[in-house]
Amino acid sequence: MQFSSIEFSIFLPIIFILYWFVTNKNIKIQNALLLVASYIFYGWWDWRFLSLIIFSSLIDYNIGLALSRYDEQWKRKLLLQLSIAVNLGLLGFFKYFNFFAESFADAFSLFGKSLDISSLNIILPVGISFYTFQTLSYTIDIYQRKLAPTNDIISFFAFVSFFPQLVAGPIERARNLLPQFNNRRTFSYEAAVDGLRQILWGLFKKLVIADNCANYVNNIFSNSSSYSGSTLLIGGVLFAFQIYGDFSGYSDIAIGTSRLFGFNLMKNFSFPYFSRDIGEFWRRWHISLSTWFRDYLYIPLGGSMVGMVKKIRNIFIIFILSGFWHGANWTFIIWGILNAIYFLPLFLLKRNRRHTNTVAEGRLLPSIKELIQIITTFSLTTFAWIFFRSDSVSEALKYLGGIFNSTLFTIPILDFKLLSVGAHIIYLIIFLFLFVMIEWIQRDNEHALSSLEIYIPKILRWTIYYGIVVIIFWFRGNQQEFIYFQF
Amino acid sequence: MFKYLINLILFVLPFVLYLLLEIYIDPFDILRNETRPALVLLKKHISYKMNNQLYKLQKFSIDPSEAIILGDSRAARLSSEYYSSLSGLKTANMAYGGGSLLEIIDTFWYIAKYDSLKQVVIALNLGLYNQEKNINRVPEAIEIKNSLISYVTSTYCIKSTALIGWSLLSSSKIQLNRPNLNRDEFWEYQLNVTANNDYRNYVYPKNMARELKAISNFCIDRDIDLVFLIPPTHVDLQAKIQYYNLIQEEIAFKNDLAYLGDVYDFDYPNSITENSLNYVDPYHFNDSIARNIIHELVTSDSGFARVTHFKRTDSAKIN
Repeated sequence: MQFSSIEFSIFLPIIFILYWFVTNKNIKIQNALLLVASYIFYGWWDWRFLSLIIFSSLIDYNIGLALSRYDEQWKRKLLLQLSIAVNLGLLGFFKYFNFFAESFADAFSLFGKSLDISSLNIILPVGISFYTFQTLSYTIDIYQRKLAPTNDIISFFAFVSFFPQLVAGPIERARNLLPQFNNRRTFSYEAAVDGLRQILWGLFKKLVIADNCANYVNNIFSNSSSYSGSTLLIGGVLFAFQIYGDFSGYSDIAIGTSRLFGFNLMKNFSFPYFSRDIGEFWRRWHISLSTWFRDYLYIPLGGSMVGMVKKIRNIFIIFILSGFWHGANWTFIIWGILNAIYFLPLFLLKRNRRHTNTVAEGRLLPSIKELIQIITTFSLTTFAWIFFRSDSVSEALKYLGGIFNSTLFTIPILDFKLLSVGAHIIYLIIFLFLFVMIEWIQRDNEHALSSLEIYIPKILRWTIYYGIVVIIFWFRGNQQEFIYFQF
Repeated sequence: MFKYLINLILFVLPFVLYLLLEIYIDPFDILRNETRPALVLLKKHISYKMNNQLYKLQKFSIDPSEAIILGDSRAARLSSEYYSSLSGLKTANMAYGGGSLLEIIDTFWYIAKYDSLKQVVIALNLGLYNQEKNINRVPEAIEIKNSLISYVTSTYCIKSTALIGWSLLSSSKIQLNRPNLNRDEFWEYQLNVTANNDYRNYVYPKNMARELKAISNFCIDRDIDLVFLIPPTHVDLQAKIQYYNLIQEEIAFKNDLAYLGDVYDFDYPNSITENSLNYVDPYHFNDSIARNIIHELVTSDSGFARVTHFKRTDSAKIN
């Protein structure tokens, strides 16, 4: 079930009413309702996927309990390894089997030998990368004695499958989300209103910004040889907006929906395109994944408390795995390597944590220096996104070759006249401008529509909400599946 | 909670009112057959352009025809009225702009349920006979048609209602999808981008060929005339088949059709396809050529078309 579908717009109010009016007296029944709702939500794609999530939950629930029963380190380690093997085994099979089989066969062909490894027709279960990491966080935290295991199987299963964040995050830590299932939730008017605002903004980002950019991006990337360098450059920039609108839009809807049910999820995006360097970008982009890798991989590998060579190795491991997490394609790995290369100089010079505050704090506009830093960071990111978006490395290189030639300096009026239907491109430019402005003004807040009640009278606020709803209905692009569902 | 729900209801109220307006206007005649003349015209002008699959499928289900024309925007240029006047068969043009073979197949099976068919014309070019061309908007249109909730919440119904409402209030004519480029620019675009999309990753449509075979068998069993039309494209576009090294694929495509039904092939170098004045762009012939095509199809009076007549014994040759 997609957040932007009619099914979800019927599903959500029904669950909301049952949650607050029918099951509100008993927290266990409330959790059971959330579990059933989450399984309906997930099974809507394909009910067969449910068996995997149930299996994964069952394994980690039991391993969690077993970990608390044993004190011997070797037994605990064995249990942890079992959890990791099962979870990563499932992920590896469903997501990476064909990639490894094909790469292996390609490697043989380099030596003039042909190897016939048939690839399997495997359907990738939606959201498997997200919930696998979430359940892993539970067993690792128990192993590290940072969390006590839960005896409540319903609340654990509900934690793993919590529908707002099940298929595309944020990847929650058990330490943050699980206790919320065990505590009584009370309805908060302010939180629920703010949740709805965040959902509204998420829908705007997804349906208006991302889906409209996708119209151009899909065409430009699939016909890159037909367009001028300047058009290809704009195609890259539009993809940067598309992926941000798509993914952060999903996170906004997920966080907003959770707030309707009295839950607080971690922030996943914090206006990343206003970052002044790559270090800051990675503290603001897909925060739940980058902190997951930091906590469960980078720090156990020694983090920055090791020698120079190992430090560099750790950085590359984190970024390459982060790329590989997105999918079984060399393009994602190169995307990871590029980000590691961007990050490394800052890290080695110990300048990666220079910008921990909000850019232009207390000011309306950034300084020239900040503006240049923002544009530079955005350009580097966009360059890497081209690999991320391309179907293959050769396609990405062809695309980049198309950008960096004399046609880069042509004005792409004709290309966009041809790509655009009517005045569509004009509307998109206006929406992108408004989008960047609103996000800039609100960059200190939780999300772009938060805290409006402090500055804006109710009648104007409602006018803004209606305006956004009308824009969503009128100008939404052709519906595209959320990009991150494939991960 | 009470305050929250009251605010929510107040907020949603205008949308409920708009929903009632949608039901009143009913831009695609899903709820009732439109009889108000002003609205009939506006719907034909606005709703049709918003979603031609939904509009045409609904029209057909209200008033089924004996002959249908299936295909993409090229076939959409063939006038059903002219076809009807020559053939004497009530005809519906069920071709869609930007259509695909998948849409043709799904539309055929949807229409076949009405049991009214005597003649079917399927217009196909190599670009459509391609596994990679897999856009299919027909299931969405059928879903919208079959579900009131899907209908009233669809972007097509929402937009059409607003435009029809605005047109009624302001008495002004709404312009949709006006072209924003000149003929030469569009000609180049069609040759460089659209043709690239059609031919770049050509894959023989094995499954779709099987579906066409099923359609052919269905037509034989029910004594329905099945005619394949290969519309004339400009020679500039024909040259792209060679450019993308697809000559053999085109031969296979035309052979396949010959095993399924009568074939009228206009797509080869001839005085129609060599003259750019006959074209709006390399894909689309003009109205006068459209009339010639219909004339040849209906009267079997071969002028430009290379005609291959189908023999039932041929049908066994495609699997």
